[in-house]
Amino acid sequence: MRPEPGPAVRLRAVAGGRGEFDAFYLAWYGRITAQVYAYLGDRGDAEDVTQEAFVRAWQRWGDVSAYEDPVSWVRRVAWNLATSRLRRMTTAAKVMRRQPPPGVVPGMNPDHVLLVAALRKLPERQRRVIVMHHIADVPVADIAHELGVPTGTVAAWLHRGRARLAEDLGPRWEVPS
Amino acid sequence: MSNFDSYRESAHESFKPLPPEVIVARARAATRRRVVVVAAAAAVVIAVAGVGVGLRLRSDGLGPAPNPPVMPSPSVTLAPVTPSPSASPNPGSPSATGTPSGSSSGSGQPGGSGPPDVPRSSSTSPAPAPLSMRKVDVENTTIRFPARHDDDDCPSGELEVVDGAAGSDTFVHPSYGGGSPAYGDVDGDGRVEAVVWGSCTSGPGDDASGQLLVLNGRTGKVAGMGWVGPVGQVINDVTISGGRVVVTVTQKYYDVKQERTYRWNGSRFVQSAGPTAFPSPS
Repeated sequence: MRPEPGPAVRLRAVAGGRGEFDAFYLAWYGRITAQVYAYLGDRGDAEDVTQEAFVRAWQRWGDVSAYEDPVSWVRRVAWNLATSRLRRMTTAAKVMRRQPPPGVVPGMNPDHVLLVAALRKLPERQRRVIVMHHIADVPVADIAHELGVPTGTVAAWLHRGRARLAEDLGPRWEVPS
Repeated sequence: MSNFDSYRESAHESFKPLPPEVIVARARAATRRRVVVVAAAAAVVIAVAGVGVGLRLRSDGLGPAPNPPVMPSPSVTLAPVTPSPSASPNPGSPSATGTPSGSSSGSGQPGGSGPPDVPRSSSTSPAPAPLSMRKVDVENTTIRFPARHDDDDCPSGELEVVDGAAGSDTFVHPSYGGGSPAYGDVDGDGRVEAVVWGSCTSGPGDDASGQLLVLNGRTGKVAGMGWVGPVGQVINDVTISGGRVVVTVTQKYYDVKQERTYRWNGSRFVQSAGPTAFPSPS
């Protein structure tokens, strides 16, 4: 598994408090948003739900910071929000959009845009496990636990999803087997 | 390098966080808003009471939002995104803002105007729909039991419960003393869990070998998150408050009552407040 920004950040986060929250948020916001974006396919929605997830994390930071893996908690909350229609009703999210843009954002790599477009053509659960496993680096067993299905089922969804992606994206694209 | 590697390693560079102050301020505002919403809802109840209109409020006081519909049917998540205000002021580069695929398989979603709880079906691949725990009859359902951390004798894994019994030695009831489970969000994920009473005769102790059990329906099946507190307590009352399970226990054969609070630590329930034992009777 490739390291995400790391143990140092996680350790500091565990100590709790505002400084730790800031470091945690700044280190993980982009990655979690990118993961949710790969799943949702809409940039604004991905930013909304991820921001909301971090708001909730701060509201109960005393607890969340003590979790073994606060990142997966935030990701799960973001995912819950993404998969519920609540995100459409959250007027609060619109307030966030009025904030000034935080500086120049590099455009999305065209290959990434193509990948997200191909992901959107997958059935929901295939897309979900592909994003969780191949982009968020969540082990198959953990995905199975989270979704309440056998690991074999997750493996089958991954397999089918990858096959469809490979077909859709063409030979130039390398899809892990 | 696979496409996933590239995405994983650099896609996040396109998403810049707002300053943390904004998130923190938003959290404060949300807390205030909740208070206002509850007050407003209470006012409505008073206003309509005279005409005999009932209004169900969330018992946990977290505002009027219903338990979020959990797992999306594909049409929800794949729905072409309604041109929302996110298009313009959103801090994204124009090239990446647009929905990348116009040909996604989603059937159009009518802008959230449909009834919020009607699940949409899909012939392709329905995801497991989450359960609303308030609607689950815990005495007649299949439950995935977690292992008890202090007792290996009770069965764990998926068991079918019929009329409160799974086989001849495991039992589940809505509460210790009869009545409904306690409901509330104990892990802050926005979904409601249920606190029930489970016991098994192969465990230690006598007739009171049971323990509080927190169930969730997140994955579409009823699953035990974890057991709460010691085995074999006499439970007077269970509530969920501020994301904590608050249990009032009475010392067996005595009249000593204590309030003990437990919180979810991400993998199990740990005591966070209140005494951990009864005073030894003198």
